Amino acid sequence: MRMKRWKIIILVIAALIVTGFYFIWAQYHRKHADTTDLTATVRKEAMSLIKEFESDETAASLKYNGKVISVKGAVLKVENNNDKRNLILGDKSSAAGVICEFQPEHKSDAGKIIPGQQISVKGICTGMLLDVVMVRCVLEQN
Amino acid sequence: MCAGAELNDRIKEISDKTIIMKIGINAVLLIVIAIAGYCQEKYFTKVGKVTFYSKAPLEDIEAKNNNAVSVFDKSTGQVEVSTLMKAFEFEKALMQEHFNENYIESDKFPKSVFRGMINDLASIDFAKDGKYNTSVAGRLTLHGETKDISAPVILNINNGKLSAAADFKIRPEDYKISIPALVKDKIGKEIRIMVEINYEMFKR
Repeated sequence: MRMKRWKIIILVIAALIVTGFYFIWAQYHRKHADTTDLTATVRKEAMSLIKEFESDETAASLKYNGKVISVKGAVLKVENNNDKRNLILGDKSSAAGVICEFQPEHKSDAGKIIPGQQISVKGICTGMLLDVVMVRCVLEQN
Repeated sequence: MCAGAELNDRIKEISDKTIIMKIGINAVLLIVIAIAGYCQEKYFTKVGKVTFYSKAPLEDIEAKNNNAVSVFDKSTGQVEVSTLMKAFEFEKALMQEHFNENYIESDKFPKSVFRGMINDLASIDFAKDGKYNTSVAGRLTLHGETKDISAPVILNINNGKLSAAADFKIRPEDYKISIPALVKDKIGKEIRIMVEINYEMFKR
């Protein structure tokens, strides 16, 4: 009887250790989530986002950097960037735009877009250099 | 006044206006040529590639950023490269989270900026295709710390297009990037940084 109880305790401990190791292994090897499955925390017009960064970059960086956001605007340019593809949203009246670097799995969607088209893009905002830069972008259905 | 004198005055008036117009057009042309000349001295890109790499026993650490902004002035040799820290992409999501939250603290320090000068500028003929092995020296601001650095650079001019490649190493401790004791031995003491830039002529 006593032997049986010990066996159960050892089995439970072993199961906990295996589960713990599996959890650590799964966390370590976790891939980036597909942006399609993520929910945008904010929806903005491209020009309004640019103006917010231009008027107070520190505040805008704290508000948007690292966040999944949805940006709507006119496409100024479609360009290949190393092995990625970028769409640039904005307005010709401003020198700055919103650069949307597409997630590799959704790169072909960006290739179907033509300049002048009004689109909505979801991606992760990373801040502003000359333009606001978003990465891992996907096209949203209008 | 007789009709002949009136005609002479009119001709003089028209000729004065023509001279003033010509001077105006020439002045505008000169300004346009001067601006165009000034702009042609500069190269830029918004899609520079910066990769960092560290050899670790368990697994090599690598991250890529494809959106570096760089401006290079060929008349002075001044060069600037800026990157957004959150635009560095790791293969593993957990590594990227640790990089942003624990090591580089990208909420506090969202950008890195290098400002420097290309050496041996006189030996580079930007009008001629060729490959030039030179170097750059300047100051790198990362994680809120600014340090002097220098690195070898290869400038390549092909069909009038300029590209630049630099490869150098930095020490995280120089930039007060603290690495927890648990993983300190697993991450190399030096991080290798590779920069690849295909420049375009600056046009306003």
